[in-house]
Amino acid sequence: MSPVKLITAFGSPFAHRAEVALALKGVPFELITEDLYNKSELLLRHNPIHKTVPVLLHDDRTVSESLLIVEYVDEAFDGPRILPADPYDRAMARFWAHFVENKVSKPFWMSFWTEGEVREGFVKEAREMLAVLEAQLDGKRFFGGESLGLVDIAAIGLMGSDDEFPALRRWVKEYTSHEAVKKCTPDAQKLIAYFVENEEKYQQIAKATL
Amino acid sequence: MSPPVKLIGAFGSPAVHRAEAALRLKGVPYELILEDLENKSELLLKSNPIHKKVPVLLHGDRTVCESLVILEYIDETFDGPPLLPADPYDRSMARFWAHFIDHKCAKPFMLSMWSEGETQKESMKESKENLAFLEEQLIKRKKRFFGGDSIGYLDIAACGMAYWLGVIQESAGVSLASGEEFPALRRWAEEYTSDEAIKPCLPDRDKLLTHYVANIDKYRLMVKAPPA
Repeated sequence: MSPVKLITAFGSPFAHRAEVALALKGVPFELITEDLYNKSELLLRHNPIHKTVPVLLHDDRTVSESLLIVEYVDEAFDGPRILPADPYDRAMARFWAHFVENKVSKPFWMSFWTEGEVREGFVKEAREMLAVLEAQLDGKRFFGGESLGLVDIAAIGLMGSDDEFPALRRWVKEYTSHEAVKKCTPDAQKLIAYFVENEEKYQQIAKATL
Repeated sequence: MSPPVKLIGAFGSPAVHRAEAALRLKGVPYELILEDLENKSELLLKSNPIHKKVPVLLHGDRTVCESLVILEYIDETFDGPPLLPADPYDRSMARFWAHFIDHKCAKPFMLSMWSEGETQKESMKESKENLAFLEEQLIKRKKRFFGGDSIGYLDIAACGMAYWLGVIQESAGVSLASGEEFPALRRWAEEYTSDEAIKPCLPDRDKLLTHYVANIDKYRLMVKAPPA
C-alpha cells in the first residue's frame, strides 16, 4: 500500500488528533497543509460533505472526521492499542470521547471568542463540563488508564483549562510530554500568534453560531 | 451464561428502535423498560445522569448510553451475525454515514417539517440534498441493504429514514419528495421495515402518527428555540 497522507491545517486540534493517532502507531505520513480560508480542490474533492480537515488519504481510501480517523488508524495499523480491547471499555471510551466533542468543546471554545454575558454563560457551562471530566480522570494518568487512548486524543483541544482542576492540570503535563504528542504539537509561539492574527474571524464565526 | 439485558426506552423513539433492532438481529433476549419522557424515572436519571436520554442498555452491572455506541457494544459483545463489516475502511464508512444522519440530516429535517417560510424552504432543499447523498450510497453498493445482503449497522442507524420519515411528513402535511424520487431508498425502506426481526420493534404506525399529530405545536415551538 502506498504511504498515508493527511490533509491538515495549522493549529487545528481536530487535525492534531489524527496526527497523534498516526504517530502512536508509528505510521509514516505526509502532511498536506491547507489554508482553511482558501480551501484546495483536493480537500473539497475528498471531503465534499463537510469540507473540513483532517482528511486521511490511504491509497484510494478517504477517511474524514477526526475521531473516525483515529478509530480507522487503530483498526487498520499494528501498534499500541488506542481503544481498549474489552467491548464495555470501548463503549465507555466512545461515550466519553463524544462527551468531550459534543458537550465540552463548544462552550470551551465559545468562551474565548465571545464577550460579556454570553461569554459568562459559556465559561460557566465549560466549567461544569470540565468538572465532570476532572471526576472521570479520578487519579489515572490518562483517561485511557496507563496509556494514551481515544478520550485523551479527543480532549487535546482543552489545553489551558487547568486552573481549577488539578487532575486535568496534571493530565495536560502527561499528555504534552508524551513522545508521540510532542512530534505533532505546533510551536506554542506560532500557535498563539496564529490565534491572535485570526481573532476577528473566530469572533465572527462564534457570533454566527449563537 | 450472560447476565440479563434490559433496555430503557420510550415509545416512538427511533434511537431506542436502533438498540432493539440490534438485540433482535443478534437473537439476544431483553426486557424493555418504557419511560414517560415527561416524567423520567429514578432509574433513567441514575443510569444516564449526563444526558438523561433513552436508550440506555443495562447488561448486568454495565450501563451503555447513546444509540450508536450501544450498537457497537451489542455487535462486539454478543454472538450472531455481524452488524459492522470486518474491514476497517468499510467500518469507518458505515460510521461516517451514521454520523451524517445524526449530525447533518436531523436538524434540517426537523426544520423542514416544523418551521415556516424561508427557513422551511431552505431546510427542505438541504434535506433533499442529504437524501440524494444517501440514495447515491445505496445505489453504489448494489445490494439490498447498506450492510450488503443483510441488515447491518448503517441500515439500523438509518431507521428514521425507513419508517419515521413517512409518518412525520404525514403528520405535518409536508412532503419532502415525490413518488418518483429516491427509488433506491424507497425500495430499501420497504425491505427494512418488512424484515422479520425488525417489524416487531417498530412502533405501531397509527399510534406513532397520532403521537406526532398530538405534539406538533410542541415541535413547532422547539424548532424556533435558539440552538442548544
